[in-house]
Amino acid sequence: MSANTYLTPEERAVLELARVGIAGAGGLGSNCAMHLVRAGIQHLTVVDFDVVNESNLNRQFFFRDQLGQKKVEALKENLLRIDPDADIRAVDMQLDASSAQEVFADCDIVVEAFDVVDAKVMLVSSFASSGKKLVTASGLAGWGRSNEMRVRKMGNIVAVGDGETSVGESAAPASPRVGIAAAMQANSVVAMLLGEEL
Amino acid sequence: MKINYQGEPVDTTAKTVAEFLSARGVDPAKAIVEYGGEVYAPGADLSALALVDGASLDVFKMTAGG
Repeated sequence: MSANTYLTPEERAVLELARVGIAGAGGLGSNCAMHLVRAGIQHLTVVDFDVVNESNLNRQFFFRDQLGQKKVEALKENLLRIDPDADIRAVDMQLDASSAQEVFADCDIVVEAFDVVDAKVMLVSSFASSGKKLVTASGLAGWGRSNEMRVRKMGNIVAVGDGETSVGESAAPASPRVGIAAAMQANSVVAMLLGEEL
Repeated sequence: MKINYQGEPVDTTAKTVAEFLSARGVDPAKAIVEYGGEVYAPGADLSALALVDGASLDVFKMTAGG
């Protein structure tokens, strides 16, 4: 039984059968996974190679006592606290275009949740011609400008964020705006699975 | 000619999508481009994609952060 007691039997049947892949367990991926499990998704494949650092705690779904842990293992722990029955496949590896296709082969939808542009480009390019649904995010740095965050459907790709703002010297990643993007990614995934409007 | 760029009407003298995006400082290697109902992945060759009056061009720039 999923964590969401508000689901209709029809919604539950769809969400509990789906598997969602998440590439990256940082600000986007960890928060997107949290929203998906709370929404009723029970099968996740989460991939990351990094460990939880002090600098992650301003926005990522980890806690101080998890510093130094592998992100995928720490995230699995946290997600299982929300839904002990969830099936979380935690994959500790650095993805490339080829391995991403293999790791996410049985996923209905994949979420691009990397922070480095080259990795984002790699994943989008890898899935653009595959036809598999991919939800990517860019343009989430800084504060304010919530109304500039939007969802665009471009073929089999759903792109969320303002599509402009880059994390750098003038704009840091912070919980509110990264969280908006992560929630928009999760919302898009659930909407697509349920056949709802994006 | 006039095209719809990011949902807004824009006047341009550019002949191709690549030329138009270059003039606006958009790097196609780091952007998803939708033009004429087709979606082009980052890095796609847009140099032979002719701009047509009234066409719609949408771009999603991929930027750092997550």
